[in-house]
Amino acid sequence: MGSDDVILALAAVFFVCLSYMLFDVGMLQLLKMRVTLPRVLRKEILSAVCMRDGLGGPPRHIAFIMDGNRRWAKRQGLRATDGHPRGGDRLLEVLQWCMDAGIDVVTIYAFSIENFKRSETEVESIMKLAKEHFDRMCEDGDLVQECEFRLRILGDRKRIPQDVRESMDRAIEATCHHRRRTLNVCFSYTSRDEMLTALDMAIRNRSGTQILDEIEVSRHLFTAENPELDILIRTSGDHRLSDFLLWQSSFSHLAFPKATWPEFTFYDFVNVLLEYYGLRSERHRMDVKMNLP
Amino acid sequence: MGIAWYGIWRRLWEGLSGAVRIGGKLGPIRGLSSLGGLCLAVCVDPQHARTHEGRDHLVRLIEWSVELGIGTVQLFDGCGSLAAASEELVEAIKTHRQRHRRWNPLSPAASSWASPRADGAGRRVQVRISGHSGQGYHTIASQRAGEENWENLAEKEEPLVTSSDVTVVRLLTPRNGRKAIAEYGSWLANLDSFTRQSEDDRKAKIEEVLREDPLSIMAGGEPNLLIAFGSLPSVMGFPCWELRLTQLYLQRDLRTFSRSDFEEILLDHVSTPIRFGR
Repeated sequence: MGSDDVILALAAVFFVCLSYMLFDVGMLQLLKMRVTLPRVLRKEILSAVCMRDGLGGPPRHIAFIMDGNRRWAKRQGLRATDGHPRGGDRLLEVLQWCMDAGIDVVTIYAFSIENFKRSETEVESIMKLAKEHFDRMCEDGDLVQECEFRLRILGDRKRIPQDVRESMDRAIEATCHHRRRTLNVCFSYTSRDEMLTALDMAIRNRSGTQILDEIEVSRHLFTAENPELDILIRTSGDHRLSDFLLWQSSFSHLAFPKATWPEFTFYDFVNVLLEYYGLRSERHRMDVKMNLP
Repeated sequence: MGIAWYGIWRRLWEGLSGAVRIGGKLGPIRGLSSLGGLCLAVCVDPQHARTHEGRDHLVRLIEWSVELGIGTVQLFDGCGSLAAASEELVEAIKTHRQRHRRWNPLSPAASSWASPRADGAGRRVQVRISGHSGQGYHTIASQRAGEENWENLAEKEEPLVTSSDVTVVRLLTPRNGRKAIAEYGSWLANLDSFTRQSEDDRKAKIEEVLREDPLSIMAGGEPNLLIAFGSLPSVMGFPCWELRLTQLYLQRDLRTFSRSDFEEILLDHVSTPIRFGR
């Protein structure tokens, strides 16, 4: 191999590396500009972020507190209740991103028991919107069906109006055959109510004088059949869990992007994933250095 | 003498940088003067909890809390190192308070906007840890107002002093979290009267027990805010029952956490409204 060939080979390697760098930089700039990317490109980006070797694969379970619908609506000059339909549309997009990222379980905080304290008009409009969404899930063209999510409703069903409950049941029935992915919708839910229910069931199912431990209580939580929660995201910059998955999120990666839920973009989503992976590998290196388990 | 001047300069600098960071507002900051009812939780990862340097920084943070008149400080780490080293921690707090009064004759408050007793001199500090038997909180050390000496109260049960001039420091372990909830489950399961009730009544009873905490094995109150120091943004296993409405501040490194950072967090907390679901 002559010196010319060596120079050519080196030049080729240099230009390939440069093109990868420019591609990454270019992609980052596109993401920062919040350009709407075609799905093919989004899938490639998510694949590059989540499925590289050595990362342990994509997060298995991610949760969202979809905060900020009303604030977004007010900023747009709309009525506060007009923010919820936009939030619903954003949810469907986010489910698609999660599917493309290989995330199998998504849990969302749709309606808290505390939210019943809102005005009757708002509660009614949310219930109506929820019913519309659940009815749509029964249809074949719906995104939840297309993404093959199995629907589960977590919460105190007794407080939910009858017609919404029936709609939920139909949607659960329509999606029960999907096995790969699960969408947990926390509706009429608080984490404390969940822990009380789990503890009560653990006590009732206790055999003899068995001592209850935290593993036994965990087995009775609403999310017992799901993997451990990897990431919890709350939009709108409010740094609280607000009675959502308190037990499950004890060791999860918490992210509080400033964007409201309707403004939560693919860029924000990828940012959270990059932070999750980046900090995890940094922590692993530190633990190895300190000989920590 | 040089050290004294360094201390004076450092306090001036912290005060100035704090004023600039909080928007240049000089004068009373509304809310920071009434922190007596505040419950602050501090959560650290093993890297900070197991090292002397990390504990020294925690002691500094406790001292700031005392100076600002914060009522309760809950200290937690997931491996229980802080509770295990409680005696060492108490000694470090004592030493810090003595050194603080000797070498920093000027008021140590980085902000002149805090409570009138900003130097914390008249304030008591009470360090409490749940007993080894898991029953009750034992005060292991308490320094009464105006006294130089610390009273050693190891293993002696003392009712919690809820006075406006006391800062209570509670050392928490994972035992005060999920384990405590499960322990109460076992306790209730052995009560005949409990199992015979309806589901709603049982849940109400469980909630009452967790709230009243008769065995004093829970965290001892819902913190208003939690500052977590760790390489990962998480609450690291802090007792979950109490985190319902707690405002979370996730920081990377305790070593670089300054007094002005601390005041900025407190200011952000008091100015953030809680909507309670509305």
